Amino acid sequence: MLKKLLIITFIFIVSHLNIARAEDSLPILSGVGGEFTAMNADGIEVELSSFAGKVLVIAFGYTNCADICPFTLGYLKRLYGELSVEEQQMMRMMFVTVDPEYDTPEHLKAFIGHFNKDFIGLSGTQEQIDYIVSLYQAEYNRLSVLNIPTQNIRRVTPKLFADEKSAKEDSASLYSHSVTLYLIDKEGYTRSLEYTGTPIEVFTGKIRQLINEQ
Amino acid sequence: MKIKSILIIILCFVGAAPISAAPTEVEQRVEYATSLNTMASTIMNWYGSLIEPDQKNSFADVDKQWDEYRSLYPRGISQIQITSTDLIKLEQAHSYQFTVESLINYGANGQLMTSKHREQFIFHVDLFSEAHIEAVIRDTVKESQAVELQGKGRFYYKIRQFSYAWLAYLDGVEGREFELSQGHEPALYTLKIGSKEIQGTLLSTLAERQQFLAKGGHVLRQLEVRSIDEKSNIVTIELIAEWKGLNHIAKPVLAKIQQEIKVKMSDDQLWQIRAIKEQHLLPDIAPWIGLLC
Repeated sequence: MLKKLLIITFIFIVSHLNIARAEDSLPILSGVGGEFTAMNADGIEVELSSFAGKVLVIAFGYTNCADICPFTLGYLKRLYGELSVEEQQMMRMMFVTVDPEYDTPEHLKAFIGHFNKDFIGLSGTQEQIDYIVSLYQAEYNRLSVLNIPTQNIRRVTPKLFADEKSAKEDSASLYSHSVTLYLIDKEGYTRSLEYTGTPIEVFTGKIRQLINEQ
Repeated sequence: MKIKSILIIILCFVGAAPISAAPTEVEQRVEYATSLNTMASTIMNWYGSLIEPDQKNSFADVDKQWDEYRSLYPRGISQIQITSTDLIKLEQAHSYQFTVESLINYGANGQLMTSKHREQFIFHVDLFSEAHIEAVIRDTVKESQAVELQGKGRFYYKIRQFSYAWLAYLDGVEGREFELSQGHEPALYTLKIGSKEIQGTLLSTLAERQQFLAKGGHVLRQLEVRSIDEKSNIVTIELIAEWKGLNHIAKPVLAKIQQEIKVKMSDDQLWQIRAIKEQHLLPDIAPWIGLLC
């Protein structure tokens, strides 16, 4: 009888302590993200679940982006540099292109490599990319569709064309896109939304919290 | 003997630990959301039923004890606009003070008149989360310049009465009657959470939804009437609610829930839910959410 009472009391305490601890942690953002398939920089198909057990930071962009993408990747590089080698092994930085037509796995690899060779670039078919964008409720639009003149916008990685005609017809390769950085836990749940304005120490704190989570 | 000693130590620890006595944040959230929703639904019934009756929108009878108080409202009320509300939890357990300020339009001698009201409703929410009005205090009544109040008739309050009662029902309050079928066809409930899509009868989808949103509370953030089928009296409502709580494995969850609900408002106080489509949107946790560059 006493033994039973002891077990019940123990379960009661543990469950209450767990709830109290759970309330202090980052909440799962319901409906943001989920399982997807994409092509990594080596041209191999990967799924989100391929990274189970790692904390992820996912950003959307494209290599022709002249402004926010290089800035974002620079920010992610600094963020990554603040983590210890052990912590770096427990997490991955991901850059998902919104321009899969131009950003082939090879192209993406070269671009990402300028920032950090550990970073993962993801491309895929247009359908795969659109699905990932919709899962994370991100957004992107071709600037040409929005009637924004793009010919004078500086490009970080100038697009190469086989001939002048193709270059002239290329009016659709600049985009506006979401700037959100998605923090994903080891089980694939989105746990926080950040941006390049988040202080580095705040963001690393959240990454560490998820790395250390049981 | 040894077990007895351990048990005593543990019980002392439990007694000393405030965590065992104080409600957790999620328990407070559940109490807040269910109380708010049941009280708000009662308030909507109170004001909606003050407006001159029409053919389509009936309300539940308000307890007779309030007849005298309600007789002090002007006659011939056509519209009511709630201009502000304030909810305070009182010291007495499960008791709340709901202060409502409103503009009331009524006709007198063929003229449109408006009066300003400030009233305090004292509620007691029972163990089954039913909200009971314990007292109503009339703070102020002032005649005002006639103001045109568009679209604040019985239908407006009927929709809100339903929406708050529905959110309370989602949080486990059983007091309200919802008919979850159309003849022999059960109401269809489609739920999209990220890459998961669940489709089934209302009850089966709610049961599956439980694993994602196990213990917490819905708070209404936005409500719009998308369409009205005058012939069948079927209304399509879009509501957005915020949900905070725990999932089935006690992990904290935050959700911005969008529901499109097709509901038939019947005269006999029964809400016939025909279909629900639900998806979870990007929560508004920062001002830059949704920003494009």
